[in-house]
Amino acid sequence: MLANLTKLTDEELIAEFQRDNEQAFTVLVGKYKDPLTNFVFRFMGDWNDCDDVVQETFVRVFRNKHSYKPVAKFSTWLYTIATNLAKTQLRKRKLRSLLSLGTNKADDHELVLDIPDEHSKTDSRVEASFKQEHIQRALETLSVKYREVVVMRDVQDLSYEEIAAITGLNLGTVKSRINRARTQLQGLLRDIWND
Amino acid sequence: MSKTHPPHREGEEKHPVRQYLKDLPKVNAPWYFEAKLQQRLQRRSTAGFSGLVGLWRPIPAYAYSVVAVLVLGVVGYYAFLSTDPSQNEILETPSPGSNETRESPKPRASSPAPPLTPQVMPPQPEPAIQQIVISSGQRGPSVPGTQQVIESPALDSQMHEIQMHRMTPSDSIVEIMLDESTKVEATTIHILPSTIPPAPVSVDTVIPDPDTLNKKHEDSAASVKAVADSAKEEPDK
Repeated sequence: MLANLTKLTDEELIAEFQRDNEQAFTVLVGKYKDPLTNFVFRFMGDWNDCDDVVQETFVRVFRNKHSYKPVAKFSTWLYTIATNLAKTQLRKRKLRSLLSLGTNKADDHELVLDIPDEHSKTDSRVEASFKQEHIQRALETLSVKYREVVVMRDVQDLSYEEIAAITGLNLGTVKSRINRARTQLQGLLRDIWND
Repeated sequence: MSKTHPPHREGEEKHPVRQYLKDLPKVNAPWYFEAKLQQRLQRRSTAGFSGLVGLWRPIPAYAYSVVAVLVLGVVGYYAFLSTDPSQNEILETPSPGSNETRESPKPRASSPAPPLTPQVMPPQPEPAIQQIVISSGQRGPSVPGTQQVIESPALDSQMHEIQMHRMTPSDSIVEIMLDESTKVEATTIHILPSTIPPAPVSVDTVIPDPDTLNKKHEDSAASVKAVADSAKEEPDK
């Protein structure tokens, strides 16, 4: 039964799930949990928030399965939910940091650096890790509207049309935002190129 | 992340930022992701008020605020209806030396028409300090807060002076100028000790000025004398 479901497309799987076949939901979770985690982590830059948002995204899909209409791709619907939840979480985090006197950014950075890594780090690994960290910080300095499109395009490799559908923007706006985001990142990452 | 070459602008795929972002390591979901999700889905179905009352859909957060606002509105509406707006409250400071009982404020609409003249009190053997309850000159149903209580020795002496000058106290209204812009009408007078320092109060009355009267009398006497003189001169002619 599960083997048969893995051959179905996303839209067929969600249709199965709408017919109360929960195995189809399991297949969808297995298919999208990694790309969605990668997207949300690069967008938010915080592991705890990322885990919460991805979990909540699938909970919303489970609860509101009948809200999906086959006019758009399932992945578009899923990324839209995840993006909206991530933006809400970012707003909450910003509000928390405003209200809390004891919160500083160094604490947040420590959470990200605590991702477990069992491999011993050689010099090249340390250097690569430093660069990745630097790129992630540069991403986080971008404003949300630029960050979301550039992560979708350059990290998740989504098409312009898909990004436009997810964000609800015009195709031209998407392209110009991606271009501006890249220009800003280029300025922020200049020291890496100089190395 | 092995590529750290300078940028080559030969298209989007060659864009250095895109290359850097593509080369970022993929972050995967933790191994416990599905178990945690399963736990979360089960907990969600029985959590909260909607789980208690057996609702399938969760109650949105704004519903609680809407219910609270509605309840406040209903309570406020009935509180407003139960309040009698015609009640006048006179704020009086209790006088330590006075044993006099005071009348409780009555609604103006239900009470008979207030006397237009102040009630003249007989001269007291000890220096009496008068409290004047003054209502504003507006007509119609009285509104709470429009009456003021003024206790002033200067006002007492001026009122006493007015009473001395009044020949017919029933046919005039005492107008007290509290300041240049506000005219108020004195309605009742109570005897109370004073607690407020004297305020600059000017008093105008409708009693004719003696100087004006004298001048008028002099003018008329002069005219009569002129007529008499002219009458005396005519027989001579």
